[in-house]
This record gives sequence, structure tokens and C-alpha cells, in this order.
Amino acid sequence: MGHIDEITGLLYLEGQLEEQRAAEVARHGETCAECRQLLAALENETRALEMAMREEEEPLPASLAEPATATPVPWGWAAAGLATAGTYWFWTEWIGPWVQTFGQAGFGQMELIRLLFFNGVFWEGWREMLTLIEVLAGVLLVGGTAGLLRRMRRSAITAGMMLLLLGGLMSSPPGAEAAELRKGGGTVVVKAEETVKTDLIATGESVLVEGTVEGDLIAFARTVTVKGRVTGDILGFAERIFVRGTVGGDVRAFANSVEVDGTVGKNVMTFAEHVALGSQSLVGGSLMAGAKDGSLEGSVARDVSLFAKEFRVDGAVGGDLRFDGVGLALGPRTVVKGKAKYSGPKQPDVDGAAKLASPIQVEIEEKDRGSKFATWKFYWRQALQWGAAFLFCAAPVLMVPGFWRESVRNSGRFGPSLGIGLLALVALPILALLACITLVGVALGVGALLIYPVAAYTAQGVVGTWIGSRMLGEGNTAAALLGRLAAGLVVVQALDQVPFGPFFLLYSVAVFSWGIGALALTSFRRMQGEAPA
Amino acid sequence: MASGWKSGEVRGGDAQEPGRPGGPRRPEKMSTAGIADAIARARAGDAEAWGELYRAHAAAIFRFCRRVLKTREDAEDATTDIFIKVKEKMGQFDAARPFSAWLYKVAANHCWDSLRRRKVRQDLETEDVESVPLEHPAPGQLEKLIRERSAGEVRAALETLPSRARMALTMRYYAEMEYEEIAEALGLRKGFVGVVLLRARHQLREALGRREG
Repeated sequence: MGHIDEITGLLYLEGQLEEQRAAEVARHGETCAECRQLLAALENETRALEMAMREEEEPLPASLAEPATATPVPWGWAAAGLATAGTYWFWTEWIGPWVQTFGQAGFGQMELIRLLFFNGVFWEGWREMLTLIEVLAGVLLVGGTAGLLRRMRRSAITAGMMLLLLGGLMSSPPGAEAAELRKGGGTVVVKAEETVKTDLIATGESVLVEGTVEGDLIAFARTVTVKGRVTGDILGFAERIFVRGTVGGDVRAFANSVEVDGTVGKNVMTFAEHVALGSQSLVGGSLMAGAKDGSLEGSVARDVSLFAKEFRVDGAVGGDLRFDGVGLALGPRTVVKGKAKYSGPKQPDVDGAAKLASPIQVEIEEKDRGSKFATWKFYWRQALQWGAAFLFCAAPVLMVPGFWRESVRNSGRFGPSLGIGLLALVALPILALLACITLVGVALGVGALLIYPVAAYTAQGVVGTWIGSRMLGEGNTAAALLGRLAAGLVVVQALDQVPFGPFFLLYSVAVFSWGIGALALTSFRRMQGEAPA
Repeated sequence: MASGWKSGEVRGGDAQEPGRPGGPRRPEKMSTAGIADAIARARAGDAEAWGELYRAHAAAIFRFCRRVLKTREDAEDATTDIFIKVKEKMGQFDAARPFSAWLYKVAANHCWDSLRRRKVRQDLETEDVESVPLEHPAPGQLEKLIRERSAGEVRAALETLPSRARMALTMRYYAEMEYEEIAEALGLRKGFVGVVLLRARHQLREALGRREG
């Protein structure tokens, strides 16, 4: 026989050759010095490998000294109870009132979800299927499918399929109902005699509607002015927004300055530095405004909810008037047919001629944060807040313990985590708003903005678990992680109560950035497929 | 000239236990009877028995994970997860087989899954195992390369290898897994295991050569 090749030599040494072939190789090895040398070299290599691999060069880590237990800890029930109570409290205290307020502003029940995800021009055909359960089921289905696909296929294929699916969903429904898209470096104008017979998406230095838009107007511009008629809603992002004409639906305006001096068939919701509803303004629904300062001189048929530093009302309110802020003034022409309620640090300024259905309810907020510490309610609320945060973060701990562990570990690398987190804190909202400017981006951008507070809330949990690990030592199982999360959240929340304004702000930013950074770092590494060096 | 090999040292035949003269045994500190007893008690829910089994094998499994995964932290996590899995699957263990072999099998599957999940792309599925060059090496050079390297240097070179190469070498030369077990864990035909191992050795030699350069 000829010389032994390397694979034959290896298989021979590993005892993998057929008996007859092995005997041939053995006989050849006895007579051929060159092949004998090859076999010896391969065998030495095997020994070197075994020695290198089996050397006990590092001791077993202390965290692995004893077996992990997955048994629930004794305080588990108490924590679960508090978590449930916390969720109830969180819902009734925060979510419920907001849902109600949004409902009154025309975002009732499914309206918000519809607006955010489906009410775009490319989702027209979806309206009928919109119930909360269906939406949740859809989200779960997509999530589940993605999870399954991930297990089955490499991620690139999955990502490609999901993108294709998303692309298909985005592109298929529009058909004849597609919006008209107008982009201009200067001014985009719908002339007085012109009628746009569909939704209009307009971007430019300024957008001026003098004619008619038979549909929604979505505008991104420095100045948006509507002098003509929009039969649907207005969704505007701009420095200044003026509504002087007629709007059949809702006005949702996010701007530096918003002025309404025309007719709005439904509701007005706006977040702006300055909000003014002039004497000619007529709002058929409700008004919800978040502003630094503002005024209402016209008429609102339903409730008015104001979150402002200073606001002057000198017009008619058909429903309730609620104010949360600093200074409220009710002028002589004020008429409030429902209840009026003020919440802030000082008495509102109510003119004697103002007509209120009942005397204004005034709730003066305590300025002294320190005094809260003396009441049991404060501690109860803290406990419930802790419960809500715990429950919120327990879900990812139980569902993806490996991801959570890695994120907690990444929290230990302060520099990169904090850096990336700060970047994300600033960049993500900007990117989301930029995404909104593109057609597909409206849903995508708003979706990203929605994920943002969730991520920020989760960040608190990551930081909490890290602090807990420093207090109780590292833990690897889900139960151990939950224990550290529980302990750490107590510290995170306690520090949150330090009665010193600037500290509170810095602390919040630091915790959010730190946690988000750690989460982002973990996600990035997982996407890259490379573990930390 | 190398003198380690003598013709009588190697047995042919697939069914037989592979011979590795002088190689260290699988790391078990308990006697076979002690392990069997502990397994029986652990299956009955005896936490102390489970603790004994864990303590006897944790270091070996941790080192296995350490050889295969990139970081110490990953290895710690994997060790924890592997023992949780093993505890859950105790009922499936065939007491006629060595416990450590089963343990390594679970460990190998877990680590390989973990590497796949992390999308370590280097050579997971795309590599053509049949394309490995099978040229005759210069035995003297190979001998020199291995002889002059410390165990630490070999481990350092090992860390630079693609995942599948690391997995294959660790399963074979650390955990002493059979070719069938390696093939099953990596999703290969048994006939390719030798080729994968040889290719991994080539890559290791290259890595050692680079370190020398």
C-alpha cells in the first residue's frame, strides 16, 4: 500500500477504521518510517490537545459552587400580591384616567391604537378588524411567528421574511385610497379653487390650505396654515400651526405655537408651547391641551382638559373644565356648564362675572416634598409602585433570563452602557420623528416612540437587578434574578425620593440611560453574534 | 523523530472503544456505584443527592463550556442552565450508560444551540465539510509545532477557532464523546466527523503558526 494520508492516519488512531483497513495501516506503519512519523505526530497532537483542554487552569466560580434551585422563594407570594395590587393601582391611578381623558379628546378606546398604527392612509381596509383583542392577538401572532422562525432559520432569512411581510402589509392596502403626497422645498399650497379628493400628506417649508381637502391632512412643515376646509382630521407637526378655516374631524397638533380661530367639528388635542383658541373658534368636541401658556376665548362644546403653566379661559365650555398646572384665570365671559376643577399650587383667579355651574373645586398641591414622608399613604404608594415595577420587569426576567442576565452584566460596564444609553435617549426620539416624515415612517416612528417609554421603564429593572446583585451576590437562575430585582428596585425607588430637584432629574436620566444602554449593548451583541471580549 | 506511536497501541473497528493511551479519564470524583446511588436518590427528589452529583460534575461541565463558549460569563450561565436541564430530564437518563457521557451530551447540545442562537456565523451551516484538503503534512514540522507549545498557548489558539471547530475538538478531546454523539450534536453524518476534526486541527495549527509569526 502507498503512504497513509492524514485523515486515514487520524481515523486509525481514533479507532474509526474497519478492522481490515486498520490492520493494513498498522502493517504499513511498521515498515514505513515516514508514515510512522506521521502517526506519532498526530498522536502527540492529540495528547497535547487533551492536556491543554483538561488542564484545570481556573477554579470553579463561587457562583457555581452549589446547584441552582428553581424553587420559588418564600417571599414570592407576597411579591406577587403586591405586584398585582401595584398593577391595579397603576391602572386605576394612571392608565384609567388617561384613557378617560384621551377618550374625551376623541381618542376613546381603540381610537388611539387606530390612530397610531392603522388610521394612516395605508390602513384604510383594516378598520373593521379593530378590537383590542384582535390587535393583541395580531401582535402575539407576529411575535410568535417571528420566534418560531428564529428557531427554524437563520436570522437573516427571518429578518428578510419579516421585512417582506411588513413591506407587503404596508404596500398592499392602499389601492385607490392612497393619499396624495406633496413635497416642496418652499410652500405647498392647496389653492382656493382646488379640491384634493383624498388624504393629503404635505411636507415643506410651509403648508397652506386655502382650498378643500376631502380627507385627512397630515402636515410636517415650519408653518401650517389652514384657511380652507379639511373634511377629515388634521395631524400637524410644525413650528406654527394656524387653523382659521373649517375642519370636519379632529385637530391633533404638535407645535411650538398653535392657534385655532376657525371651526373644528370634533376634538382638539395639542401639545405646544403656546396655545390660543381665539374668539372665533368653535370646537364641536373637547379640548385637551398641554402647553406653557394659552388662552381659550371661543367655544368648546364638551370637556376641556388643560395641563399648563398659565392659562386664561374667557369663553364657553360645554362640559367639565379641568386644569392641572400653576396659574388659571377665568375671565368675565367664561361659561362652564359642567364642573370646574383646579389642581395646582395657588388659588385660581376667577372673575366675578364668570358663569360656573358650580363653584370651582380647588386642590392645592403641597409644595414641600419632604412632608410626604410622614404619611403612611406615601409608603403604601411606594410599595404599590414597587409592585408594579416588579411585575413589569418580572415578565422579561422569566421569559428571557439569559438576555436579562447579560444586560445586568453589561450594566456593570458603566462607561459604554451610560454612553450608549445617553445617545439612545437623545437620538431615538429624533430618529422616530424623522421617520414620521416619510410615508411608511408614520407608523414606524410612532411605534418606536411607544416602545421608548417601555424600554425606559425596563431600564429601571435592569439597573435594579444590577444593584440587587451587588447587595446579594450574583445569581444565575430566574428566581435568583427576581430576588435581586426585588431588592434592587427598593434602592432605585428610594433614591428616586431624594427631595432635591436637580438630583431627581439627573438621577432619572442616569438610571434610564444606564439601563437602556445595557439593554442596547446586549441587543447589539446578540445581533452581531459576538460575545463580549 | 517522534517515538510516541507503536503499531499495537491502536485498535481497529468501529464498535470498539477508541484507544487513547495514557489520556486522562473523564473527570468523575465519585465512584460508579456512588453515582448510581446518587442518581437513584436524586430521581426520588433527594436534594442532597442532587447536590452530590452536581458537585462531582460541575467543574468538568464548566470547563467544557469554557472551552466552547467565548466568555467566562457565558460559560457560567451555560453551566447553570445545563444542570437545570439535567435535573429536569433525570427521568430520561438511561442508567446503563455512564452519567458523565449523558451530561456532556446535554452540555454539547445546549452550547451548540446557544452558539447557533447567537448567530455565530463563522461556519455553522455554510461550510462544506467535504472540501477539506487532505494533503500529507510534513510530520517533523507538525511535531515541532505541537512540542514547543504550552497548554495555555494551545488553549489561546483554540479560542480563535470557528465555533464548530472548537465544539468538535472539545467534544472529542475533552469530553471523549463518540463520533456518533458528535455527529448527532452537530447535525452531521458520522462519516464527516473525522473530516471536521482534521480540519479543526489544521485550523489550530494555522492559529499556532500565526502566534509564532
